[in-house]
Amino acid sequence: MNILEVEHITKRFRKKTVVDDISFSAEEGKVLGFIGPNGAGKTTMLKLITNILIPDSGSIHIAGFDILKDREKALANVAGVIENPALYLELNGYDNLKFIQKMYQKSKDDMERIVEIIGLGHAMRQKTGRYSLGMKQRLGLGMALLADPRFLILDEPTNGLDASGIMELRGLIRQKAEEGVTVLLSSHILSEVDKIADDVVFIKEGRIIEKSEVPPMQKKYLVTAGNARHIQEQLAAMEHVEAVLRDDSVTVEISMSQEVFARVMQLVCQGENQVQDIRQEGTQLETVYQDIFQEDA
Amino acid sequence: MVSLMRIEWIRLMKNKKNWIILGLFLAFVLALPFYHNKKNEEAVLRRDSIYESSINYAEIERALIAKEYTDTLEDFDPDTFDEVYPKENQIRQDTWTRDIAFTQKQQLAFGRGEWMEEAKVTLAKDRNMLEGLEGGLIRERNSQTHDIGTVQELDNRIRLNEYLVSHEIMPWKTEYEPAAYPVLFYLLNTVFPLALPILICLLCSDCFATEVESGSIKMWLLMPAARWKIYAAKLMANLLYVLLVLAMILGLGLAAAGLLYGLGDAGYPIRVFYEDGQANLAAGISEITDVTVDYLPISSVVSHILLSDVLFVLSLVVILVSLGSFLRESSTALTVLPLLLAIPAVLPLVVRTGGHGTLDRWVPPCYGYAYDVWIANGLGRVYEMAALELAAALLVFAATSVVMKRKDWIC
Amino acid sequence: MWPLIVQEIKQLRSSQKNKILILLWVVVLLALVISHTNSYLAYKEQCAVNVEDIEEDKQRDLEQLEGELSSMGMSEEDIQEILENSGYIYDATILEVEAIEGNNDKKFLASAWTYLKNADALAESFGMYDCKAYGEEKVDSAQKFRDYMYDYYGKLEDESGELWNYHKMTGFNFLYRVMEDAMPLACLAVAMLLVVDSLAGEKESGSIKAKLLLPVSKGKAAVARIAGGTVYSTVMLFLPVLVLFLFLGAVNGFGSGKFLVLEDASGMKMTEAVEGRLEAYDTHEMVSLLDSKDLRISEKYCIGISRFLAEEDCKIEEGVLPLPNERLKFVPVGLFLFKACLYQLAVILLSVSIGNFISLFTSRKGIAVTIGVLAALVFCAVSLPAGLRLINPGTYQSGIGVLGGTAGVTALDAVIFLGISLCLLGIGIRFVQKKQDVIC
Repeated sequence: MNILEVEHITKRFRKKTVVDDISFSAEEGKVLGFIGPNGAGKTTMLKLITNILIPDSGSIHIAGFDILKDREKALANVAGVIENPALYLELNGYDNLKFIQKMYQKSKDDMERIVEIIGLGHAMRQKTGRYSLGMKQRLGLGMALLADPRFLILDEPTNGLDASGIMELRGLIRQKAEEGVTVLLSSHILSEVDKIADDVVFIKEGRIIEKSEVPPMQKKYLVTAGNARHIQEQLAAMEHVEAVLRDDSVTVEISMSQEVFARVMQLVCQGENQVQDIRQEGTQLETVYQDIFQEDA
Repeated sequence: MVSLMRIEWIRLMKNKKNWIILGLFLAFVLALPFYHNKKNEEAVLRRDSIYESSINYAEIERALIAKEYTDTLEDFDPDTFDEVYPKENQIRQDTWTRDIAFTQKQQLAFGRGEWMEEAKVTLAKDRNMLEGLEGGLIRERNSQTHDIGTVQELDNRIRLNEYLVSHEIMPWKTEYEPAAYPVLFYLLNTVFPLALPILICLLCSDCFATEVESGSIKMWLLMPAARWKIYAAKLMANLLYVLLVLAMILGLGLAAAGLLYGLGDAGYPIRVFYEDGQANLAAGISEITDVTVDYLPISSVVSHILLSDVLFVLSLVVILVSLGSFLRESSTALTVLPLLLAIPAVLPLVVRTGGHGTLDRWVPPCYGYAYDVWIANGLGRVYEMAALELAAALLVFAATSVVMKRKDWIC
Repeated sequence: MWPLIVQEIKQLRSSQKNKILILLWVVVLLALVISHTNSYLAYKEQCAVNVEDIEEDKQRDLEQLEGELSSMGMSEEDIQEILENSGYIYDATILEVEAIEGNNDKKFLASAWTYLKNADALAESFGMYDCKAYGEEKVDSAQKFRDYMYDYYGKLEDESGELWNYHKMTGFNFLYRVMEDAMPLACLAVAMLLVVDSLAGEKESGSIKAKLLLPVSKGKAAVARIAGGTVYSTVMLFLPVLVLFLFLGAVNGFGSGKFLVLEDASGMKMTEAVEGRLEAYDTHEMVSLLDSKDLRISEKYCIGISRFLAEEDCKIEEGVLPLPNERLKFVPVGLFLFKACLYQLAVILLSVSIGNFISLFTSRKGIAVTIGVLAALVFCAVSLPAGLRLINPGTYQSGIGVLGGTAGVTALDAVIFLGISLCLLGIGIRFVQKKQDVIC
């Protein structure tokens, strides 16, 4: 079942169309990545979904409820961090969390649990105005999690987070997905989206890139070998594999297929092939991103 | 919605700016009884010299009459002057003689703190002078230079003192009596008309603007509540907060004055009168007036004013919060909205429409003197004013709720 | 430092609050023009009497008077003299009505002279100074007052023979009114409100970091901020005034290029002492001594002077001779404007310094603005013409009036304001330098 249904949404600011006839949906329990260059309309779209902005046309349904007509019911299942965390800078971390606690009638234990998850125990009594960027991000995330939503919206959640924070976030998102929570993740860090998203929506100049226009995701490997030419000739003969010679290494592009990948690896590693190194080059998503948005780059 | 109100309440209570405002107003209100006490003491010092000059003036008038009488007798020509002229002079002289005696008694009573005696003597003196004025025996004088005043002033003073004497109420030395009731009346009648709108502006006009500026409005907008409920909850919380602040200011002022100088008499008469077609309240007895409407006990007047102020606060909070919701910068809300409210009061000072620097009192009905009109004009007007203010509040609330539904929050 | 000043001006210009404040200032100026025009029109309407009716009244009253005087057994010669003198009041009224209708300043003057002639004539004819009850001294003072009024009207006529007309909203009159009534408040309050949230806002939003990274000392940055604020406030406050001045000049004419000023407001005293009584007579009392049978010393002619004569703040006190008229003088508009603008500039500098000083102590815009609003209210309360003064009377609010006379007084005020501004700047720089952490 789709928890989010966006249908033909259009939004104009003065004479500029920032969101142009966008339609997409998010399946329950899945992580949907939202990707696009700066100014594509990602944050605007998120604000339209959460009724911070009003669309000029189209409809948005969350858990079956129209966001415009049944705002209360629609938003009862939603929480998130849009653009930057919505914090009261003159209050401390606990005070900010208390707003959510009171609104969603959560217990103090729930609040403590969230504090533990976000790892801000030492700083919760400080005013959030003095927090670093990452700490604010953690607190914003904590406020979203405390609401215990069915649909979680995260806009650049790794912004300012340290390495451990990013890893923890990744684990958390996956955990939530497994619990049946739908996560809409907008991020510039393609590697992260690549690792956790089940599906990806590309947005460019306010429009969704249709799936048919999305080039196939391919793994790219860099194989360094003593007889690179020999390997290249062998690989080039294989289906769904493109091998390009580069000095003493061969760049191999393989279509996303476990079987093909296994055969390639078998070939590379057998016989007299003096394979010295095999490395994955870039992510699938980066490749696709480059292809789609190459002209903008 | 209660949860939303609680959230807004926490935000208001933890707002440093609000505590600064409250602190400043509290300091002012706590200092007020001391200031009033000082003014009252100055009045005591001045009162003695007024009695002195009053006696002096009366003696001179009496001497002049005597001289005139003497001159007149010398130049007396029965064909030219009215036969009653000497008798009239005698009556005039007697009037001034009695005035001297009364003033001396006043001074004595004042010096000994015998307020009832002083009130009775003032009553007798004023009746004496009123007879003289009404009989055309003596001229009206400016009450700021002499103690006589006009017929209307004397009439007012006589009615006041009759009331005080019959109810055994101690007269105030000036309008700056430092006891609790007078201080409360002073705050409500003199300070609040100007201070209240500004206080409310500074407390709650940036309710939305600050949140939009900081981005915390997104937290509100993500809550599972209709937009009009979010607006209403913020409005209600701000209204309750403002009322609490006012209660604190008034309560502490009252407590300070009461503890230091006593409660004062709840039955002290406040004069309701018209000036230039506008109703006013006065505690003092020296203003020139057209007509006195009534004397009401101060407790009743204060309760009327408080109730009127609550309605005024309600409508003003609704208007300010609603107007403020369309602004994106808190500094705009905090600067422009007080100025918009101040314009009706300040503009006459800048753009003089009368001659010679007179101040035109063009203020909208809700701005400060609504309760005066209320009290002066009786029950009919009560419902009219209350209905006007409530109607204004409801209209603004309804309009803003409708706009809220389709508003884009740029944050 | 110049780029910093420009940056500060751009920042102030882009603020939504500042745009609205300037708009409100323009509204106030327009309201000033409209209200002044309205009062002038009301005054004209008030004076719109039919000349024929006055002529009829004159005819009728003089005939009646002639009859009464005849029955009293007066000589024909005396009667004719009294009739002639009594006619002056009607002639004066007719002149006044014609002057208003035709907007003729010379006729105003002629009317004023005629009123005075009437006062003289009646005084002599009817012995109206025969106030036995008040003794001889009062008679003497009344005559002195009359002499003073003759002298005064002479002063009102400037070198070109025109009467200095306060009522018309000409270009120069507008400037005068603005400089005296509206500009002091604006320079005090509005200038401060324009800049009070500038520094605090930068700290709150974090944009101050960009400035802190520049290779400029904090002192220079503070000076640039105040200079930028002063330039911006000055331009924004004076530009609408200039535009309106030019517009009114084109529509109503620019008017007389001279201003009538009183050298010393506090020197306006008259005396009365009668047989040991210590009494104070206000001018209504004085006028009422002359007041008989519809004589009016029309206050509309007492422009600069009448404000002191008829208003409450002029008390006539014991022991001082009537004001010497040489204290009244006309000042060329260029000089007036130069001094007034210099003075206002000093006030703007002071307000901007105070505004920035407030902003130093907080990184919350809301708090800075709140304190600024309360401070502006306090400044206005102590500076309004109705009551108190920021500085002594005769220097601040009446400073413009004093400009015609002793320049030293106004210059001293301006120097004081400058001094306070520099002190605040110095404290601010020291405070900023000492306080190493800018929490943003």
